[in-house]
Amino acid sequence: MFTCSMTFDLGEDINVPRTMVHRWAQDRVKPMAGDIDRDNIFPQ
Amino acid sequence: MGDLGLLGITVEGYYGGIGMGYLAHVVAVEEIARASASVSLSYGAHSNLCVNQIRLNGSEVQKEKYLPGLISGQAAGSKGITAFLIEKKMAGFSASPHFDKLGMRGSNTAESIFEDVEVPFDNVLGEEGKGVRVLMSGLDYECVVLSGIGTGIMATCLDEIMPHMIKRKQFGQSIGSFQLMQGKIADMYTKMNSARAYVYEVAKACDRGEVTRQDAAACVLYASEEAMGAAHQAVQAMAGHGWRGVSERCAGCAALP
Repeated sequence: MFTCSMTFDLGEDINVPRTMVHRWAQDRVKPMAGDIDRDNIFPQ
Repeated sequence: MGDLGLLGITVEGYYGGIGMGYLAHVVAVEEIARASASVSLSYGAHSNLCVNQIRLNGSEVQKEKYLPGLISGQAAGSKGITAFLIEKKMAGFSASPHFDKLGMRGSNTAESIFEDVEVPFDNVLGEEGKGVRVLMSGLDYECVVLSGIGTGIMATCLDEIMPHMIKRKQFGQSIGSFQLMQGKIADMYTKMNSARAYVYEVAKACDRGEVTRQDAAACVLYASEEAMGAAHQAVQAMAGHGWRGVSERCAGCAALP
């Protein structure tokens, strides 16, 4: 994970949900990403 | 996704959404794309093309009927919206098997087939005969929100290659110490943050109600073209590993000395 990028001043209203979505996507979506593209099926 | 409230991110709380704007929406798309571009496209299609279009153009009755289910994730969105709302269960409506696409493969895309479908008058979205306006009014927001796919792909390219720059050794040193690799990283970093800066500003303009058609189109043009370029450079930076499938690539990198 590349975390050294600059932080844009978007405010806490954006940073808080970004962190939440980031964690969820990395934990839940990323492990499935390879299978989704290979099998061409969106998980229900 | 429904539990996090992401499907109705731009929709008022009254209809089950979380009442945020286009900046929040594009950031959510970016972070999902960083994990899977396919899933982010499905997410963007549902939450913007379907849900947000009903929010913008639907009557009060339509919003109360459709939005809560679409936002909680119980109902699946369809992109079959032009000037009216179609439900999959309507007689005469069917969808072709989904296409075998070159990319964004998990975001199932199919042909909508209409055979003498009778659409109730209540399902007209916006005004009768003004479908083009409905469609085009949402296009600017769609461009901006889906720009997040490009910025997310650029972020994941750096996520993938940076550990490789340190781990992969040639001539007794990490390949990240070579100027050729440093040049690639500098280009990818610059374009990623340039795209983010533009996309976020255009998303803020959407939230102020001041977005222009040319900026909506320009930010998605830049973000998506640079994402293609970044993906190409990421494959190059990973060399032989970059040309292999995901499972082999991960196994191969883990096995590096």
